[in-house]
Amino acid sequence: MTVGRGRVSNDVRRLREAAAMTQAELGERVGATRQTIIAIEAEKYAPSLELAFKLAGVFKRPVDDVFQFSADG
Amino acid sequence: MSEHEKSAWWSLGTTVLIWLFLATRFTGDGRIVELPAGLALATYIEMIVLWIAAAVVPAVMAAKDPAAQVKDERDRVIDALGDRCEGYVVVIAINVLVVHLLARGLYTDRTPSVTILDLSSTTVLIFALLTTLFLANAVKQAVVLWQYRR
Repeated sequence: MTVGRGRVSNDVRRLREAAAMTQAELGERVGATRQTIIAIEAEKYAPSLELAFKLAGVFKRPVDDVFQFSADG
Repeated sequence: MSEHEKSAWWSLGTTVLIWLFLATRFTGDGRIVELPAGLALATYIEMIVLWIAAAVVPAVMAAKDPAAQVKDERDRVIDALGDRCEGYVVVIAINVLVVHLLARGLYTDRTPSVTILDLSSTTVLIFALLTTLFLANAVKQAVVLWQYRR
């Protein structure tokens, strides 16, 4: 997901699969729809800080373990 | 396809259909025709009834499964973008009409190179304003669908 000149990437798919969780289950735990989880995993949507913290909380990881920002896009 | 996408498709489809209904009343031979005041009012009321019916149907369907209607942050972001684009269309269209009126007043002695709407006609003005609203809503729904689909 391109944000301004930067780019937000994430490891949500890898972490979710490692936790043996479906997209719907993950969505339910963080208050998002399955479609939103799909969009985040495909890096077509950069979540808000609140949702990013919730996702990181589900995986018991710091946010910057789950989401990475590169300024060069 | 999420319920929100289905709702956007429904809204886009009904918007186009209701506008086509208006167009069949307000136009003939590809031109806007002058409607008697009574028929114009009747058409307007029919349009309002159709618009309400188009809004009630998805609301009734949604009532059967309220959980599917809950919007998360992405849905709200997409809605906000659609609303913003809808606003842009209204602003642009109204300004086009204003410039059109100003130009008509300023250049009365010149032959226009583009089709000129006779905005002094009530029928034409009503059709132009309603078309603006329909166009804005169609653009909004198209933007929403594009955002869900991209």
